[in-house]
Amino acid sequence: MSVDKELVLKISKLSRISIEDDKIDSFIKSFSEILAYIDLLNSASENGLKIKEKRNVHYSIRDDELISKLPIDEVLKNAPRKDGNFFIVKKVIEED
Amino acid sequence: MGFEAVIGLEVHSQIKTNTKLFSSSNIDYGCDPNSNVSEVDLGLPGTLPVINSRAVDLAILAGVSTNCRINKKSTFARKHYFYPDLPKGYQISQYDEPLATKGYLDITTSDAMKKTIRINRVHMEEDAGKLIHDLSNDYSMIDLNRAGVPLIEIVTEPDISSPEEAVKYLKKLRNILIFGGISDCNMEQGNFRCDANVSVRRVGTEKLGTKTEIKNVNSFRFVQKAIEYEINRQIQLIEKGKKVIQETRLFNSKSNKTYSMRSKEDAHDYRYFPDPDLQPLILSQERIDKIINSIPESFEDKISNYLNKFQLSRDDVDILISDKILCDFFDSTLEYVNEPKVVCNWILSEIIRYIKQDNFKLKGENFAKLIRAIVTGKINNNSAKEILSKVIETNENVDTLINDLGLQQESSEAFLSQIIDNVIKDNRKEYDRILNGETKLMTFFVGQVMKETKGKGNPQIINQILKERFRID
Repeated sequence: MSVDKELVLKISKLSRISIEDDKIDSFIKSFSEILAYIDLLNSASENGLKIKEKRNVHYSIRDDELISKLPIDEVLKNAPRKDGNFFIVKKVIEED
Repeated sequence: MGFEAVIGLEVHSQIKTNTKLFSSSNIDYGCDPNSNVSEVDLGLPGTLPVINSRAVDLAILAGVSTNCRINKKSTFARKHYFYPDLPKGYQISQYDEPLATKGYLDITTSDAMKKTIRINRVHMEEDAGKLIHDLSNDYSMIDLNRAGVPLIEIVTEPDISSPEEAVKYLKKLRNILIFGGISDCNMEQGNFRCDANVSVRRVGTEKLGTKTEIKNVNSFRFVQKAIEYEINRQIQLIEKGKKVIQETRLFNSKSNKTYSMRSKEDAHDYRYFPDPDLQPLILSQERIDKIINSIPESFEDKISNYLNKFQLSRDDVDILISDKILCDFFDSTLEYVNEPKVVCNWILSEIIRYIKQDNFKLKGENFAKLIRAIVTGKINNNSAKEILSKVIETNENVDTLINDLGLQQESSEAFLSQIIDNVIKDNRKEYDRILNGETKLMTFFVGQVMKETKGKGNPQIINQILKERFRID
């Protein structure tokens, strides 16, 4: 994948992280290097090595029981804005 | 040249767990806002999701019940979007390796033909929080109680051709989920919601038209209306030479129209990637088999038993299976008395009116006693109704009540003959008229005899003796 200004701006927009115009070029370079490195990994020969999937992967699983939840004042503690027990944010719906 | 519709459905259904998919907060409905929230649901730094075992079992059960192949390895992915209903900034879902794939459900179309609707996948994901927009003009309010609630998403192939077929499929799927104990599918509470992908094309063409997606419709009637509206809207656009735009639309149940959400073009770019916080979900064949073997009776088998083994009518079965609570009561009564038709009749004529009330206490075992008393002629129907009205709220022992109230039916022929002869003596005029062919006076005499027996006379025997007296065949 070739990285250009357009792609960097799109990713910036999607991730809601603004990039200053004079930084765009350095991002093009960084993104390209990262992708090139992944391409390099993908092109590496397995040299007959088969990557075995671990069969008995340990993964955490829990029973369907209430263990902990937060008191409401803890839940809302870091909220920039609140109203009663609700978080509030700028209106996020377009009226028809 | 006409048009045909091509419809695919995505159903989100909340599965019946006590706690969330990746956190141990409880998920009771109707709690105070933000009272069922944990650090994980808030996406606080340093927290890690841990999957709920019960949710996995129920999702497998949903896959098996929709004839899917259960994948022994499935993975969780992050689906990114910016909206305040999920504080993490992404929803944990399954993307390229879902839990179950390649299933199907059969429906019966309006011309009584069997049609197979292929199911593309069943996967697990977490629900988002609820935003309330209409309490303030300036801001939206957020309740995260639903954030992290376990959902299954069931996605069909575009095999559905009409709004009616869509509703049939949804009703069948809902019954399977309810009867399998997988989901309550309570549509008012939003735990069974449907997105419909709709496109139209000229009859005889293969290429699919541009589709639109109608989001979050939560009643069968609205699904039907929304799809009907959308099909007509698309046909009109094409006939005017305009183009259907691929977009997400919302259904307004007041106007019965769909509206564009005017979402940005790249809103669908979710930048999925495997969630590094969660290992792939590896299922053993034993676990899958255990779940398959735990299914007592499929929904299809249940219907078939009702129709064939119990000889119930199609109409009666349709009503019974429309509500699990009726089926459960029917099944539990039949454990104690083998009179399926009588039990069904009494459930559909009487019990159905009370069973959803909070104070309904009657148990199947006790109801079976009432049915036995009716069938053996111990009490007549009127007495049975009287007893029923008393035990509905108390579950008081029916047999005791029959004795206490002295409601045993009077079936002695000698006793009833005596009363009948007295009634005839007192009503000579009516007796002569009935002998002259006015047979409709029978009901008058039955009524008089019932009055004399204080409602306890056995109506069959009264009828039989009266017919002998009046020489009616």
